[in-house]
Amino acid sequence: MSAPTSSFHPQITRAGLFEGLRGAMAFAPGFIIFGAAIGALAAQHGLSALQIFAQSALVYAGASQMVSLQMWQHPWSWAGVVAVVSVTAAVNSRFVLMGAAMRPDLAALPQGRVYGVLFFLTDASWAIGMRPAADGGRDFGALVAASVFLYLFWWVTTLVGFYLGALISDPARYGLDLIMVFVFTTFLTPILRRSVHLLPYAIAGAAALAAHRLGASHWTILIGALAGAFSAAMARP
Amino acid sequence: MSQDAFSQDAFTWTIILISAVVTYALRAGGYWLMGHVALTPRVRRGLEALPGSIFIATALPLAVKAGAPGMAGAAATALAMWLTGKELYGLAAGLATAAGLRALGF
Repeated sequence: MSAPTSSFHPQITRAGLFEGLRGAMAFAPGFIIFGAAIGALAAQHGLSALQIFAQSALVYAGASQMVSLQMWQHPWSWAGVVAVVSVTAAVNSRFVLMGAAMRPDLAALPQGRVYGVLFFLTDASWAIGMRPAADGGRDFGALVAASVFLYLFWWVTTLVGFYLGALISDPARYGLDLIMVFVFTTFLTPILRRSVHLLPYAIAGAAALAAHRLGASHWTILIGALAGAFSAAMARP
Repeated sequence: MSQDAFSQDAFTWTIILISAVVTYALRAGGYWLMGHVALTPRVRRGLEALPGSIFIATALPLAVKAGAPGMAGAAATALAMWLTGKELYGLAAGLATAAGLRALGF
């Protein structure tokens, strides 16, 4: 293990790859439940196996996949297409912010590789790849290993969910409709645990709730996230 | 274009492909943008607070909307994560709490 530094090592190390794989394994059970719920939803809405596979392989963003499948229409209209694509963009707008946060650490790397690995950016791979040095992270290898593992794993879990979905007739009965809440809470808890300042997170939550109450339901994520980041930026260090 | 000219299948593929392009643009766009804007300590502090802000802004409205099973389930997930540090236990606690409360009629 090399000494912790403020930026990524400009190469992929074996230790980093192992660290990323270990981190990704921790998310595997969550991915199984989340992916299976999405596969089941796709089956209910009449997507083919190839279509849910393509959605998982090309869009590869669980939260937006789940939200768009919940909005699936029969039959489609062009207005419906615009609505689904807009919501997908709103839910995934958090990637803009995550990508922005990665810039300082990845700027020294070959940019072709960075833009390649950005295709695989998810909440989990980001949480693993951007972990502070104290946790053993900060190595490009961790991000690469976590990204590839979780990506391939996502194909499997959504397809398994697609075929098994018929067996779960009422997901709400098992709390499975709330899986996204619980997955994101598992992401959030360690961050709150090691944070010195909790106020920005309280502001982020309050802003998102307010936006939700006022009817901006598809934009709550972006509004809350920007409120939290802005208040952290404005606070005295 | 009329609806008949475009089958349900064609709509599905159109949505998947547009969503894929839009999502990659968002993934790459923030990173690209930061290469063209100076990073001050303020901006850095803001970016550091982003992950937690995003997660809470996503989860909290959904939990509140779901009522008692959503809020108690999220609290159980957070408590289990805080105590054990393992995602699996957090998810199990959340699902068990939500399923239990729903079984009781909440």
